[in-house]
Amino acid sequence: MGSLVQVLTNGILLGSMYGIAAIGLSLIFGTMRIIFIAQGTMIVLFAYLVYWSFQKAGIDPYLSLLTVVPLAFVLGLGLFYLLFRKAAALEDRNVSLLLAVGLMYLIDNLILKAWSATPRGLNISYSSAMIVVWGLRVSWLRLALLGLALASAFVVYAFLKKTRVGTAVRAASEDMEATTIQGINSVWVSAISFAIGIALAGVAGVGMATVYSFDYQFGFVFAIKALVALALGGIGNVFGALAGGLLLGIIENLAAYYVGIAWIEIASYGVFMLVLIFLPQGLFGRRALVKKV
Amino acid sequence: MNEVGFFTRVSASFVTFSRRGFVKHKRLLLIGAALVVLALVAVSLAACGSDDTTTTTAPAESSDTTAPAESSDTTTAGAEMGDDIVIGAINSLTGSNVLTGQEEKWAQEKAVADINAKGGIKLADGKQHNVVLKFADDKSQPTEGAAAMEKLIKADGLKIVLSSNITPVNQAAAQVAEKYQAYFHITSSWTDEASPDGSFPGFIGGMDLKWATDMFESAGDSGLVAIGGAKALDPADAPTTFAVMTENTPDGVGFGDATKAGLEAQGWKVASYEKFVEGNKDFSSIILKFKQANVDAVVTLIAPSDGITFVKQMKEQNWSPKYLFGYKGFWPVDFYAALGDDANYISYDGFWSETLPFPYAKELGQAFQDDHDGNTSNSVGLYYAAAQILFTAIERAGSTDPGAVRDQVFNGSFPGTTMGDITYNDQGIADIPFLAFQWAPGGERVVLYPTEFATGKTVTFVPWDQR
Repeated sequence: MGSLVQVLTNGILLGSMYGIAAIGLSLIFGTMRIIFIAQGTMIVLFAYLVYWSFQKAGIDPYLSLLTVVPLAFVLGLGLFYLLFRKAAALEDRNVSLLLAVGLMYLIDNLILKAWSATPRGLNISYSSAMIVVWGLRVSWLRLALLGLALASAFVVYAFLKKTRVGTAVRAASEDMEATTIQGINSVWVSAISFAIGIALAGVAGVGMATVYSFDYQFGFVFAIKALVALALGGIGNVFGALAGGLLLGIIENLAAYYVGIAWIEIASYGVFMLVLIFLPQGLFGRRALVKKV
Repeated sequence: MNEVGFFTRVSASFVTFSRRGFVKHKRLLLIGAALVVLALVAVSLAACGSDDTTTTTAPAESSDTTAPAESSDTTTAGAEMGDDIVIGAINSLTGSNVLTGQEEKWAQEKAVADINAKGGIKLADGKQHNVVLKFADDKSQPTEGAAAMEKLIKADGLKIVLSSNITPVNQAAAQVAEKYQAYFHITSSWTDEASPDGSFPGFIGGMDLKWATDMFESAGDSGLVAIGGAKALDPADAPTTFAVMTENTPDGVGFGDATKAGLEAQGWKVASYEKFVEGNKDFSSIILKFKQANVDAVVTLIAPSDGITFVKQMKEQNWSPKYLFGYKGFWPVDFYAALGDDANYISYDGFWSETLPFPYAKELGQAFQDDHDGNTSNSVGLYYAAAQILFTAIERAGSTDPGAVRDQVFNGSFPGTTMGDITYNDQGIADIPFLAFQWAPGGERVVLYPTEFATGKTVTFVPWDQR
């Protein structure tokens, strides 16, 4: 029993990273209707910035949240207006998708040139700090990551529910045309959603830098994991996306512990396929998003 | 303050900001955003200004241990200089194997610089020829290794190629070399032949290659160094229960099966045998499994980036086996740089040490240190020796005809390399013994095994909470 609880705990802690990334993907998908495949690469970019600021200036990774997240937000705005503004207005979403793929490879290679292909990992003084509760060992760093995931979900939820811009984002995710007719600036709404999605990549970047080793190629794999989490949790639901991430982390850890580490991918993608077949709206998504033909 | 109150305040702040901040300062934000994008691109480009990832390599810079290469049309001895000899080199310039690829590249460039400093290679035309390497990136993937070989042969017209250092990559590239009858001078790839009953296809030795040779160890024997390192522990600290954890690749499984069998044959219990997908980022449940199986020693074959993650998560879980031995990923300089003192007491394989009593070993080690902030290498002597052997074979052949060069290596003897005296058999295989090392505090490498070359005894892995 103790093992199961520890495995579930490990899964939740791993899944919190997926969850943060999935919330960002969900927001961007909500207004732009594209799978932003470069999300993982953005996370890796911010992980490098966190790593760099720690190595060069000794800035604590969690303190760097204060600079990285606003920077990511502003970068997101800039990328939207430079790259996606016109494409997002097109009926054909493939253009935006192709732009995202291009952006992913562009950033991958900029990272490669700037920081080389050498894997990086932060070695911080409190990386082995543990919290032990009833024999359950939890790494402080991973707990902090879970805290970041929960805080991100609550902040995004509050933004969507309590602010006018958030209300506009929700309206745009339901019906972009009707939103425009109501006089809401749909471009600005999409830009804000995109920027918040990138800001969440900044949050996840801090988590990645502190807990994992990473290299310039890690982003794509991570984007796919976030996509699986999003599909599991369901599009259009902030807490659903987070739950999807946590669930994916749990599935991976259960498979690793009870079946074997080689089964991680088989189990997670198997569940992903089953959910898409039987619950295409995801476990917590809105049925209205899936139209029957 | 209760949670609801806190989030209400956060929400209220958002409302205020969205009404006043976003709308009023929208234009300012957009200008700022554009500037940030431009600044990030500029920073990236500036950071890469001096970065060298070119795939074409002129003779490497001379280090303190060599004289400068000749730049005139004649050598100092007056011999006439001929055209450069261009040799292909497949290397993991990117991908998960980049750390070991970097050391291989350094050694090959050093060998080229040294041979050119001595006047190059003399061919049957009576002229001296400088050597130039042309690198192609295998991206640490077999398919890319094959593509790199195809490019070097077809696009660049090269018929003599130095290998990468990953078995599956070299196996894939060797098949292309066979097709075009290009000579592939392999090192660092498992040499195993196929089993007599055909159940095990073998590695390089099992491919019946006519255009490739290999200088390395067999996977079946590779586990011996991990066992040798464990045996060098104080008997009172000796582990009893092992786990074998390996990448789920042909390379890894060959190693894992052989190591598990070897450990069990020596009387050790192997409580867990795990195969993971390369790039795995969460080992916490496996570590938990090992803890619960009372595993007190781990032998693993793992890429450097995964290895760094594994050790970080061991520390997170405060799990300290008595003995941790890693193949492939624990020995590069950057592994120690990424983990710092957390890499202390970790044991690993290696192919060479500057402390070995072989010609030029000490000088080569010093040159590496000079170029790497005092860090040492346990691999560069192997790659350097491979290049030395190739240059000697070309000189003996008197030409760059790939068949003639190959024929010099099959059954060839090459005394006095940085790996000692090397002899290839009639299958083009030269077996070399592995070494076992351990990271000591300060990043020093201690040779543990074979005992005749040992520079220290294995130290039990010091638990995280006692460091």
